[in-house]
Amino acid sequence: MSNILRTVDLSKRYRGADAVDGLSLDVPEGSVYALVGPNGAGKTTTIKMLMNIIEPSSGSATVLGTSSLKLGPAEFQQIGYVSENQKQPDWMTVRYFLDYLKPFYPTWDDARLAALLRQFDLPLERKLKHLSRGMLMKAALASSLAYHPKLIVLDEPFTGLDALVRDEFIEGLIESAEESTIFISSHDLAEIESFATHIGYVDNGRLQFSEEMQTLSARFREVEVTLDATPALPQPWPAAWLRPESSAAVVRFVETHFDQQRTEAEIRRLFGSVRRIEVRPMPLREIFVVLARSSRKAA
Amino acid sequence: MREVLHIFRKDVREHIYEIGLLLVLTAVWVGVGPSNLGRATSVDIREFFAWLVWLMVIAWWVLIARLIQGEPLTDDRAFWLTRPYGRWRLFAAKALSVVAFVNLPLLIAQTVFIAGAGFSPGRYIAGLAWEQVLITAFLVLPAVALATLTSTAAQFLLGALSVPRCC
Repeated sequence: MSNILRTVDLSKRYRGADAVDGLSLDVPEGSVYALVGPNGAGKTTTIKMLMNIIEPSSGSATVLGTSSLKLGPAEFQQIGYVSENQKQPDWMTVRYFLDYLKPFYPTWDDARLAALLRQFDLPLERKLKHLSRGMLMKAALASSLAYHPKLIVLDEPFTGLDALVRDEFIEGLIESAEESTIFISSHDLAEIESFATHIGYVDNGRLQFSEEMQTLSARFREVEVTLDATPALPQPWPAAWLRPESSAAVVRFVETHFDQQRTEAEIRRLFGSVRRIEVRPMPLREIFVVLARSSRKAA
Repeated sequence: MREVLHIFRKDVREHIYEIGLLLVLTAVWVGVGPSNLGRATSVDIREFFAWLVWLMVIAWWVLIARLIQGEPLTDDRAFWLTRPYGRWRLFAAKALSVVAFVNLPLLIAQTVFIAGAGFSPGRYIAGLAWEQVLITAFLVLPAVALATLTSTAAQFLLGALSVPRCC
């Protein structure tokens, strides 16, 4: 699988502060890549650099095989971009907005648009400025999916949307996922988890990890160890075990490189006599919280 | 060219009121006109004519600002940045709007003035063209530059008010 999007040491500095610092990632063709991270982590800045909206301070990015600095009409005909921050031409009605965009895209598909309009239930004669936030995002998404883009870039698309609109939005995306690569930044980890294939975690402008969703889910486990006596946490504590807690004869921690045999062997080596080891898979949201807290603590 | 005309048509639709106002002002200006002014005995009509000129200049600036800020270069949230717009085609569309609704009405008005005074406009083509160059250089281009550097009407107005102070 080739990479549809790649960054190498991508950095952006604002008045001496690093918004993005040496970010290197690959997004394989056909994947749904979620860039997650806390507020101010550098997700939006990264996307703006990828879309040639702002120039990087150093490093490079390639989008659809073209340097991000050289993205032009030919590339944007294959990219669908939706951002919570984007200003739409709000004087236009939904119908005029779509009619206006159509001639810019040789691959514009009226049948696809009609299906999206039915699915999103958009009021065609209403001006964009009179749409609710959810409707506006759906209009932006419809206008970005109607031409079968190769790459769909979404910057925090779920912010402020109610559950119903989110579902509709995600359904529209999932249908396009078969023919497109999706790059999405979001805080909404529960939604991301349902359809992302790859995930990148960025914090303080640095990419902490980038991997397949399956691998990530497989390597994070919440571990509860029941001992015979009240434990003293062994020193040095393994770096891969985060958020250690102990109460009575129980120790809990999050294993970030879980492997059934190796983890159990390590527990027995450190704690000696162990009565019970319980291992629980973690949803993405919990993984994210653990990582964010650990990173804040380290900072 | 098709894309240029497509953006131009969109701009006309978006700024139809500004364009309409400008054309009405120009028509009134032509109606009052220097030939009528020469016959006028009232000072009020002369003052009105002078005010009309100022109103037209303001209307030009408003239209130019609105045209350019419709697709601003300085706002990184502008929708057109991630759409397949060719920058030169966008520039050409804006230039076409300025020529169509600032330069051309003015040129027609001046031609009417010359004809109304009993002269043949054909003999004054060079003078009329030179005047268009001067208007473009001293009134249109500064407005274009200011509108390009600003992203809102308030910023534009502030900039426009600061220019005379700087000079």
